[in-house]
Amino acid sequence: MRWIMLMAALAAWGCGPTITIRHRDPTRPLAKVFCDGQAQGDVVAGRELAFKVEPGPHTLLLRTREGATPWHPEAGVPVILDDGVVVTLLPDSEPAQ
Amino acid sequence: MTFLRPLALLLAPLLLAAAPPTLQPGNTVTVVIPDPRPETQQLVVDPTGNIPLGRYGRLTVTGLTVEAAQRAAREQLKAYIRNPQAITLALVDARYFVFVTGQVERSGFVRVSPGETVWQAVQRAGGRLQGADLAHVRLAREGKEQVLDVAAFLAGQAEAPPTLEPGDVVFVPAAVGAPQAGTGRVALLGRAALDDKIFVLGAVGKPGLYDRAGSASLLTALGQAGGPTPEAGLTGARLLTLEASHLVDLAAALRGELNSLPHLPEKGGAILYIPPRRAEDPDPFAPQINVIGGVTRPGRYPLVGPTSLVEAVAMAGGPTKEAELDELYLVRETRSYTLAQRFDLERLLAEGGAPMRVRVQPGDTVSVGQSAYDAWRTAVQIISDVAVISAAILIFMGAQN
Repeated sequence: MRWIMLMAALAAWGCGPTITIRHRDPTRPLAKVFCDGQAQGDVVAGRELAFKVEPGPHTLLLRTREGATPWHPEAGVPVILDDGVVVTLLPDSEPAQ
Repeated sequence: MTFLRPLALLLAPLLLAAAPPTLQPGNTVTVVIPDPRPETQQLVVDPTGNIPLGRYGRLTVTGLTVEAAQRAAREQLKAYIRNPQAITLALVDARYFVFVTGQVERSGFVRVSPGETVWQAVQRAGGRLQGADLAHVRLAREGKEQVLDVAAFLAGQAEAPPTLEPGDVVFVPAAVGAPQAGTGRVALLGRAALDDKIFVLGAVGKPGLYDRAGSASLLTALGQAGGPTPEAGLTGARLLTLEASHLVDLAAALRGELNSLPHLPEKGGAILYIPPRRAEDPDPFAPQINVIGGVTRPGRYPLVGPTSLVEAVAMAGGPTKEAELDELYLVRETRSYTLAQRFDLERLLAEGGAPMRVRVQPGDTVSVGQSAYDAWRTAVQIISDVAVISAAILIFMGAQN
């Protein structure tokens, strides 16, 4: 019974909405991730970082050793978390449109 | 032999009067094709001089007499029908095309009756716009241009302007700061004088005739002509060449979305006509969003004012019955990151909350998930069919043994 409860708890924890940061910019090897001003951890190029916050509007900010980058204007990136958010960091390029 | 010259001069009017008329763009002809079942069609000769014969292709009739056009139709269709000699072609409406542009309500080809003048053509083009300079209307014909004072005629101070002929081009300039024709020498499409020219007409800054040497593409020709005016309907531009008439979406080309603009022909003239934008047409340069996936009408939609995620789905006709409403993605691409936010639209609609206020931005893509039910149903059907056939074979083999 305890095992079943433990598995159910783990399953419930794993199903909640998450924000995932996928780091795909080798020109900036390390990024510190902040959500609403709270540090969430570091993510290195080629890896990803996922964390849980309450559903609703949030502001993501990413800092690198290189200082200010187009990734993270001081205002941050506004996101709304409902079922999930994935932010993929890419090397600077012209936007598609 | 000199005595023949006065004789020829005397007979010329008689010979000319007896010459049968030739077909011109804008004329209406009736074509009867006897088999496989009798067909009677009334067809208008298009601006390039052709009539469409449906599955039998197009037939060039400009410059031909009715009899010659009938012979040409019989020749073209003889491989397809049993009795080509029964094909008949008759002229039923002698109106023809002239091109009217400038300060008129509807620039473009209009059909005029024999004997009509520049003023009637302007009326058929919807009438003059406010500020039109009727004292300097230009009439281009056969490589020559003349300026007509239609205002004086309307005031009863001058004789009626000359009657129009097939292929004439009428340009009504603006009264103040009137755009000037590119050169004083204007010619008709297909005439030698236009071989190295492009005539840019309609809603452009400087309508006129331009050298093709400087117009490597339609966009450069558009630039030479002063660019489009704010009222230009760039999505419905039309390129007329001797071979064809193309509908060209110059707005898409200017957005960089169209890689296959029609090429200007190596020989013969070309006319690029930019019509005015219709009131109901959306601004082609308005910011747009993409709505894809399980919606009724996937596509690009103009973004007019603040638009929510739900309104974006509604713009595309709403979700289809196969749509997975709990898999709604809003994807945004910027210079250095992509952002994909996933929403459960069913829950949003039921519970509301902050995500209902999500606004889409220019360039965003809204994707609605689609159920894989149809694919599964097809797969199960195939497996079921294979099982039934296998069972039938096994039963048959068992019965043999």
